Amino acid sequence: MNAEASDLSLVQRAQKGEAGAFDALVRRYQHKVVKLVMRYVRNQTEAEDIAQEAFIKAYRALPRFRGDSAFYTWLYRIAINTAKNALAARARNPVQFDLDRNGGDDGDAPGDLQDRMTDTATPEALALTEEIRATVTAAIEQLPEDLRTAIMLRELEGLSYEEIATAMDCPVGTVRSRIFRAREAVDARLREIFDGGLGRGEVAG
Amino acid sequence: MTEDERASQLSAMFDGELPPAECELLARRLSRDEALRRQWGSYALIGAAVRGEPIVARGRAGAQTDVAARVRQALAKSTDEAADAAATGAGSEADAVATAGGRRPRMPRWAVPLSGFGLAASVAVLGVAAAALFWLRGDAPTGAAVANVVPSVRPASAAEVVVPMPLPAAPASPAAPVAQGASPGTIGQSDDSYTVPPPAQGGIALAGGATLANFLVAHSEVSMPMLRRNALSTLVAVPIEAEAAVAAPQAPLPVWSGPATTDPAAGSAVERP
Repeated sequence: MNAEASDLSLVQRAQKGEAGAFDALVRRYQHKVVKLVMRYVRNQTEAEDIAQEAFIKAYRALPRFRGDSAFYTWLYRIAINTAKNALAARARNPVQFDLDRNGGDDGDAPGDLQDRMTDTATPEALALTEEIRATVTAAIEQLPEDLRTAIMLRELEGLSYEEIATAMDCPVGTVRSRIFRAREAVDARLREIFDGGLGRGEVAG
Repeated sequence: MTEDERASQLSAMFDGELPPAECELLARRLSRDEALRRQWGSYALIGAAVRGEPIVARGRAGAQTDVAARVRQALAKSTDEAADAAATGAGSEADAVATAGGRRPRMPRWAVPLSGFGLAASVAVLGVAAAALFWLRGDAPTGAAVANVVPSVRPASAAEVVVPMPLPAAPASPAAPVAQGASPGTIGQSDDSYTVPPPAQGGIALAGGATLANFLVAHSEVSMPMLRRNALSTLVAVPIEAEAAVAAPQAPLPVWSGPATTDPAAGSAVERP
């Protein structure tokens, strides 16, 4: 069993017009898609822009998704094509400076461009990213051995619950419980440090 | 089911380890429960941090906006625009989504070459029309000239259009029969009007006869200038001998141009055939 079944459930709901289901898919894959796009563009801010466009394209194309392939495989292709198109557009227009984003007539706030420029490219943003990573790493190191092993085998090695159960010589139900408890402990630590927790955009806003 | 149990299910679903039936139920709840989606997003963040992937998250002061939040905003905006468009009866949701994505809706890929072809064809048609206009202004009868002729044809009596007429003294050039408006057999009165050319001895005459010529002139009002000119030009392409050889054994055909009238010159009535 893999993520395809859960993705398909969410995709079917998104196809019926449930925006929350598509939001769950975006939250799940946004990091992966940004990482994928960063193979083409080195700047994370630009990669996030392209990822956003890719997700919107996917949303528009969702009615045509029939589940012949896994959702992420389909999304992967959309993201790659969007990144290539962005590169081609950049080659045609080497210098791009979107003045509309700087308080133009489209309703953007006047400081939007400055916000974009101070995105992840800034030292503060880089420090934030490192702080998040360090917090997660420290939280995992503080976990009991069985929880730490279970979460690392799952997240780092990508093993299934059954494989982890075999490796740890325990029932699959126990693996499921250990991974869940490990995640809850790390999330609790993140919530202590960061306002509203990370990956929780609505709360942080 | 307790919150912990639900969270445990969510964790298993995130890993793709939840049975499909439970997946369906939890997906339904996930799509409606914002708190559950936050937790789901947190699991994704933890995994990305462990694997060293780029972390897409909102910071303390909200300086960063994660991709999911931006997508949510864009889609919400598109939904609003689609609702507005539906209210005004213009646009579509897809257009609105495209706008929300910061890009204008594009023309379908297959339509791009067609649009270019259409543009080229339009330019070509305009060019031909302009060339024809200049050509007609230069040496061909204008539409106004034809307009001068046509009214004079309609009231003409049968006798006035009877041909052939006596030969003129001078042989006509190939173009002359068409341009000699004041000669005998004239239908119109203007100098530049179409005429029924007098047959010239050894020269060139109308191949189809005056009847055909008059017919064409009378109906040229609704024809294109170039076609009209070409049609009339062909009438002067056969030597007079050819027509004479064909027409000699036959009596002159009466021409019907209305109810039976009396030819004032000949004193004979031209009956309807």
